[in-house]
Amino acid sequence: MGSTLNPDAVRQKIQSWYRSRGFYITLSIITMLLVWQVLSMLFSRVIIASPQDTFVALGNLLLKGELWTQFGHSLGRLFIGLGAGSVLGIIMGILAGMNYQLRFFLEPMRWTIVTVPVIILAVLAMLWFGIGSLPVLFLVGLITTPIVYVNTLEGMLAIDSRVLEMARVYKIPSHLKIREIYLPGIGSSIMAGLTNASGIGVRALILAEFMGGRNGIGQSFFKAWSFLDTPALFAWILTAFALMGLVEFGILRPTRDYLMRWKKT
Amino acid sequence: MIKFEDVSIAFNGKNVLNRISFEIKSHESVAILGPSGSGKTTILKLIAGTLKPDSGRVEVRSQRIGYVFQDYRLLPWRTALDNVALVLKASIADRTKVKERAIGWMRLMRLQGYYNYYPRQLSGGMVQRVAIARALAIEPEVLLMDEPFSSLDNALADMLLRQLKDVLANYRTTTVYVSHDIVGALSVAQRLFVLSREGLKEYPITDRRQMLQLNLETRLKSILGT
Repeated sequence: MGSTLNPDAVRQKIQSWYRSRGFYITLSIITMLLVWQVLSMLFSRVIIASPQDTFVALGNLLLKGELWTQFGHSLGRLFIGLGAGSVLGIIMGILAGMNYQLRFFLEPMRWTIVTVPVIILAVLAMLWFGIGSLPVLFLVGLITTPIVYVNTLEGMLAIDSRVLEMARVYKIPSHLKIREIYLPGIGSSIMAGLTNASGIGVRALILAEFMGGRNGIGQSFFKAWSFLDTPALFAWILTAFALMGLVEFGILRPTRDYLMRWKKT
Repeated sequence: MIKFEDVSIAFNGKNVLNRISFEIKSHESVAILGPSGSGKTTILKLIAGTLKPDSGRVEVRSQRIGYVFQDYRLLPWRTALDNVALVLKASIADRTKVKERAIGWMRLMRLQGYYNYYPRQLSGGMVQRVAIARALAIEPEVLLMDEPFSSLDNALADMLLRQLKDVLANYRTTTVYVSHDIVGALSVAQRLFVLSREGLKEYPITDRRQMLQLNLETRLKSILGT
């Protein structure tokens, strides 16, 4: 009684929050944390670390500086591997989009790389390049190239032929066509490919580091696993999420929003 | 400048142009009228060189062709100014002059203040004027226009038409104007062709005012079936 709050307004606020994206995302995260908490209570601490133990382990890794070092190693490799794979995929996608002979020539290669299980490629990478950064970079690059390639190619094939006719009439030279028509036209396809490739790239990165890296998140995960340090192991899993989150929300989405600004009024 | 000899072309087995012949001399301004689907746009594409005839010969003696497409064809991801600048970049070597000249042509089309708008932020009539500015910017020897004033209101269309006539006369541009708007066509063109199922036929323009008063319009309308 006597409250200045209007009950209708409060109800409306609750309802709009209830309908918003944020509500469901928060709900989903809370659900996952709860399931995690319950599972950790049901099983031994060696099998599943509780959220509490995990966050303590995470805090320790942060304080020691260990987390930043390994995160940096992995991030660097992801950038180089994904960067090389993306550049290669985009260039080949643009060329294959302009030349159908090249498209047919590349198709079996794309199929082969995509079809071979990642673990086999990881073993081969170690066999060929030994242990260290090189097999990791090779695997990430190899896995991401065909994904970016396919998306770029699809974007190229979807470019409005009427715009290309305009370019022909006005004799727009190839380098301008690529810069002014093809690249902006395929921007959203490339960004979709990069998002997809970075998700798969992070998984390949962690796997390769786990098997044949000298450091990085994957290798730290391996060490925690060898010492049965389950809280640390879970902390490294969260670190892998952070890596993925940084790439997707910190880099890819802002880039996509910038490239697609012409779509907004 | 432009010469068609017995030109035929078919799409999906359907004859669109059947043994069409005509000649347009340098600096002439020609209107081709016809109902939609009669092949007017096809004639422009043959002149522009983006289509080849199935038989017959198309001869165009020009290096610079400006084309105002019926559906404008601006790049949606470039601003109005950049759309005009793009064709200039392709045609002039001096990059420092590109922007200045693009702005000049946009001002002529009464588009000052809209340089940094994306096409989707502009009205249909404005987009059409950007497309015209782009075509004029390369200072074409041959200007092809496919219903260039369809999205403009009458007052603006009249004004732009007058301005366009001056520009074309100044640059001595050979113009082919395709439309089903008779009044507009008569005010631009020195020669008038009508494209129908029977083929392409030239109608001599004796006295524009008289032609309009003598209800040529109704006569043409019956030919065009509009």
